[in-house]
Amino acid sequence: MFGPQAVVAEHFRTVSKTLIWILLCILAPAVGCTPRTKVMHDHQESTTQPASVLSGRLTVTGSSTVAPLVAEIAKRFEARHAGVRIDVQTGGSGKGIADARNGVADIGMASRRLKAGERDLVAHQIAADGVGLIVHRDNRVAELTAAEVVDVFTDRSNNWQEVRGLDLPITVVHKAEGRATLEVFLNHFSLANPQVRADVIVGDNQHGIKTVAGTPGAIGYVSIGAAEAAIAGGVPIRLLPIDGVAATSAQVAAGAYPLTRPLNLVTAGGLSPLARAFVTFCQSEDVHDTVVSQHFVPLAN
Amino acid sequence: MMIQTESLGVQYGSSIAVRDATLSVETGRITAIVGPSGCGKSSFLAALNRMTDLLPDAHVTGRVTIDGTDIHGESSSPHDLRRRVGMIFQKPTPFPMSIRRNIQLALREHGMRERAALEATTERVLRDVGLWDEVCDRLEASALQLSGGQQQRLCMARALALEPQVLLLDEPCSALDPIASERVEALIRELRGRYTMLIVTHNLAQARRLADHVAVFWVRDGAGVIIEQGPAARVFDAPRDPTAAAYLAGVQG
Amino acid sequence: MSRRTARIASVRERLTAALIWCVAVVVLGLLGWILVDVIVRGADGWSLSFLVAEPEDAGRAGGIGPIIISTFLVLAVTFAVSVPLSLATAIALTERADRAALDARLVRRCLDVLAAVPSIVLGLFGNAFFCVALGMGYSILAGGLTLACMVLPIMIRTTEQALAAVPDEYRLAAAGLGLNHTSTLFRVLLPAAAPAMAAGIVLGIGRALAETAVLIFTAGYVVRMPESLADSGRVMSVHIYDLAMNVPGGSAQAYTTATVLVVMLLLINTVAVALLRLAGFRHVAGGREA
Ligand SMILES: Nc1ncnc2c1ncn2[C@@H]1O[C@H](COP(=O)(O)OP(=O)(O)O)[C@@H](O)[C@H]1O
Ligand SMILES: [Mg+2]
Repeated sequence: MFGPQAVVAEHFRTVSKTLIWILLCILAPAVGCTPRTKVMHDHQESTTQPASVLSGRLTVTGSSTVAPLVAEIAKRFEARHAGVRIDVQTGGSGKGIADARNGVADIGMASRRLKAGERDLVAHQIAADGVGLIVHRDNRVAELTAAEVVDVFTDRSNNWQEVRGLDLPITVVHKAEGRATLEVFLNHFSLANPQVRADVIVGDNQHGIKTVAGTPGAIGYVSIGAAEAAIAGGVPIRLLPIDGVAATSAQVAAGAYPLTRPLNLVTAGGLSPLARAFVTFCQSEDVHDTVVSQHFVPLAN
Repeated sequence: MMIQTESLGVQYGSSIAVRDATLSVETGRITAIVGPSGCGKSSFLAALNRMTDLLPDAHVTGRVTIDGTDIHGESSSPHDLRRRVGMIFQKPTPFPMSIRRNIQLALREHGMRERAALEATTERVLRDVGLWDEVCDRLEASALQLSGGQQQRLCMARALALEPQVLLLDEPCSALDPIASERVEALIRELRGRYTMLIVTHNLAQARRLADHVAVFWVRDGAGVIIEQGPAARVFDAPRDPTAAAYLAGVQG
Repeated sequence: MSRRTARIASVRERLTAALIWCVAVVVLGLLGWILVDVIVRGADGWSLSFLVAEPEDAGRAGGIGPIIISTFLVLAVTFAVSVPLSLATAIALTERADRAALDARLVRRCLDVLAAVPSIVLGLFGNAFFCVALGMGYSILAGGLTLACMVLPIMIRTTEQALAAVPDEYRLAAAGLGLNHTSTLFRVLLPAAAPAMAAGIVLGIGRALAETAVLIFTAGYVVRMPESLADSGRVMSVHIYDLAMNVPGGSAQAYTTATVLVVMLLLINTVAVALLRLAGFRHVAGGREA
């Protein structure tokens, strides 16, 4: 008379209640202990192993622009050294610098030069990224002078007619506070952020490209590598030259293009053998193909 | 004397719902409690199995003994008391689970674990309330799928499964249609003698048909009191209290 | 006169009905549009190997196998912690004599504040507290725990409402059968409230699956197959965000991943309903019909 469904239901109830208790019991100690013992374990490993055989674990944090590149390089590095694990985390250049400084990370990533107050750290450049002004493909304007760029971004010019273009309002696409490209841009044109009268605030390169591509009167600035890739993919945008230098990867690599930013690994103090080996690997020619495939410009050695 | 209340009082905060209610209920008999709404019938009933304990501001005074033991005494727990004194509410309250589980839930709680015993009890009480033939092939179905009358009989079966000595029925028929009501009434009649029953009802004809004893509640000075009690025939044919007489004659209330 | 009133009433009724229909159609249309858009764009890259393979070339090629696993692990930690916690809190808030007591009001107020905390703030808190202060580092455990903090308010609220919605008659009837407080709670009230609580959990899963800011700072960015809860693991929403925002040419894969996410949500929903049925809770959901 006792149906199978009743039995199943009964079991389900008991099992689920037991499960919850087991999970609670497992999680309660895990919260406190597991990771800490792990960290200690790693330290022992890296100190007792002979220096020639690379093994251990590195944490790299920072710029979300650099992170995909370093993650790819790390994968290749891990493939060459079986005992190595490199965890790449993001959170912005600021976080990379802070984490490297206070030791939360072994290596930081920053998509900008170190500032005056950051001289306690060492920057290891692994690639360059040019920042280019972009407009919609249908925009007739061939080039803007530095003064004109400042006028446009501070709303002194509000129509493309004023800078040899069509009768079309100018939509200024600006980056959100804290973006590395924003700092590069403001530095180059000697602007302070509050001066800029933005019509649209975007997060990062892809966001900026999408916005400009969708607005015929827009102007913005993004990584040249990202813009070149988008243009190759048919996105209707165009890069403007700066000071007469075309905004191309080649010009960035040659050092001729003025509006560039370095992609850096950042370290503080003495490097472990593993960290040193990884930094060297990131700067080597072995990874140039990876740099290019991430739309950045490799360093000429 | 099975149930004896002595100067039983129930109050909610400062408002008195029942005052000075003294009543004797004989074993195996049906006692009907009648009276207009709000005169404390439900409160009186709730005090008999300590359901009043659950209401935060309810306070009970006086004494209730069942078979000579004080229900508020040291040795009696409300859970055991409620097992011995079952309660049926006006609105059928089957739990949202299968018919089988509705009956077996409290049985398990009170220590019956054996599957065979559980199944046997389930069948016995469902037969007792005349529900077995209607539901024996769908004990796994939700109790909420039953009709109102079936639900009420299921609730009675659920209470009977605990083998109580007393059943408190608080207007068990007033939420049911006439035919379902008739069935539940017939069921109560069949259970006469096996259980001591107190039934609150607004249906005077039903009280007359069922009851061995009758108690009439009324509001006096803002509190419910018993104004008339005694054997059913005597109370209905020759009430002593004039208000009760008018009420039972259908003039008032 | 009365005829006129009747006619006006009927016109008004029809207008209201039309309005409700319009809104319903707009909402459904919008939802359908988003779904179709995501699925159409994502369908190209869709294949079985996409579900199991490791990502290549910063996610532009390969699949999302480890990412799916990490997502499930983070969700498992989140709900292993938040379900019992929210249940306990909701019971403490509901199953007491005085539902409006000072401490209960205080707890509710705190939960409302917690619910209003922007997820980026919660992410930074999780990073500072779980990753750094408790030494968990970027890990699935830290991500799951931070996410648990995020879904806790909604889960407690839905559980509390589910429990409060159980009619008091059940409590009285249970007491009338001599059930003690604990049995009443576990055998009557919780089963009765289970479907609504399950809905709360599914809602919570929805929010958790969509969360990026919290997890980028806690569970992290690593795409390796996780070996334990102490490993960092990238979840699907973070992967989608990274592909769409930081990886030039990653948007196709972002859409494919989004499609997987949508399908996963639908699946979780279906499985939740099926599990509830299996557990015998159909008695409430089924109602009187059939
Ligand atoms: N839980 C309660 N809290 C406060 N007052 C109540 C409560 N239950 C009943 N009362 C009051 O007690 C009086 C008697 O009610 P009740 O016992 O339900 O009467 P009856 O069942 O005869 O209609 C009424 O005035 C009612 O308002
Ligand atoms: Mg009543």
